[in-house]
Amino acid sequence: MNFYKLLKYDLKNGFRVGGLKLMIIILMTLAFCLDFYLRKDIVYMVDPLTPPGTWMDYLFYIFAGIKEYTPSITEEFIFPIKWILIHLFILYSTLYYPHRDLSSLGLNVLVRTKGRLAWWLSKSIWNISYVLTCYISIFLTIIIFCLVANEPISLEITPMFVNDLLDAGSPFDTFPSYLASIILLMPMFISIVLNLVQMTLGLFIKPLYSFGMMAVILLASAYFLNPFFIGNYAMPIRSEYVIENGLQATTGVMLSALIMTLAFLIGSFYFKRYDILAEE
Amino acid sequence: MTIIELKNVSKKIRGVTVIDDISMTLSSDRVAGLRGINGSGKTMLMRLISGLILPTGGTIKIDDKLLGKEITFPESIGILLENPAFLDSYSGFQNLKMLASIRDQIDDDQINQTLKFVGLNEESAKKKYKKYSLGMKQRLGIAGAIMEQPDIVILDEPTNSLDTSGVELVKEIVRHEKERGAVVIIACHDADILDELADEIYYLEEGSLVKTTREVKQA
Repeated sequence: MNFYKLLKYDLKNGFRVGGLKLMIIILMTLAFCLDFYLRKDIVYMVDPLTPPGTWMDYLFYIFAGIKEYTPSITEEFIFPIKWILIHLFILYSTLYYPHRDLSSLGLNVLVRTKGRLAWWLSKSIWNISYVLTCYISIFLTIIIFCLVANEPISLEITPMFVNDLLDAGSPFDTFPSYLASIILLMPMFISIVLNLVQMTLGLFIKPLYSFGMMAVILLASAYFLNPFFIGNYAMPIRSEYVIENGLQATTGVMLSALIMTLAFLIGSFYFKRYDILAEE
Repeated sequence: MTIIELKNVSKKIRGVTVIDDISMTLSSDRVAGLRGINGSGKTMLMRLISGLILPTGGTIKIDDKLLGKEITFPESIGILLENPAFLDSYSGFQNLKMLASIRDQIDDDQINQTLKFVGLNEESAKKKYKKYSLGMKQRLGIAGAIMEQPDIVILDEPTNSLDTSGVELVKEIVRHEKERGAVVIIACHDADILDELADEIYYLEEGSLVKTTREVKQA
């Protein structure tokens, strides 16, 4: 009963704090949708035979990431702006709440809860809920954009867009429906993992530094196609269904689940002995 | 009857000793005063008793239960540590209601009564916290600490930002809490206030207990 009340407090208070940031995520999504819509017209020169972009095409465009980068004189590294902006902004949105709560009303809430584990669990559930809400907001925003722009709300991926607009360099002409699940779930899942890791790191170092570390992980993931940089799994363009020798989602899920579990356990263990001091 | 027992309690933070080998016993119906200059360890000691930080040496027992092992926090405690902090966009009443919802021991009427007791009238209680003056914030902080009639009341510099009437109110509150049977621990820069309120005063210097004055009022 006590935990339920704590969780209710965190959900209410955490979402109140993050409400404005959710609006920014929605605006960012709208801007990316508009970008995709206009780019289609530019690339295909307003050809009436150009197929419409489906809901999944829009989603793929936003979360695709970049294809594997091979350093060379001729190929420059293209910064995955949309992908990194979305991930970093969600990370920033969850960055300060646990810390600020402890130097605000949360301090009094904590001594009323009788358990530090409950506090950590509640903050972790809030963190996951907030990230999920961000993604649901993105999905709904794209649906609304598709409705307004008269684009089909479908899970179909239009193959010609994958190479023409996403520059995936894919050898495949068709994409299995399984790829739609990867586009829909993997960026969200990796985002949850990164946000939890960031929250745990925030116990050891200043929140801003933990945010910086997450940014480095994301950038390294964009630069190196390596199964150990988990940001790679949040880039559906690097999936085995898009490129040959691409990454397997199952490996990503297992690795992420392991990291998420470790982050939660380390956090709960460390928070048991964590000194709650005044904010510096 | 609540008994707080500290035995050889020490605390190091980043290699610096902030509390050094302190032993004391505090019990119900008593007001313990903490005196010392800034950085002498008063707030750290209060955080230790609150369970917010854990000792690196020694033990703290609340009613024979080892703090940090058998219990994470004292089972019934109200705290006002340094500056009170609440949610800016909520009213004074809403802040206390949110806080009270965790234990669910008191209703809206009791919250309102406490607000009245600390000198925040109905109009002030409805005001958003961000519009509160420093004195009002302090009063709300005190209300948050005492509203559930906890067994242990910790007040760190409760007279900060308060005018003369506010200081008198703090004195009344401390006496009331003592009569109710709570252990009251109060840190205050004003020596006269401590002399008037405390049954015993603990003098802290660089984290060490240098002197204890018992039964101040009768001395």
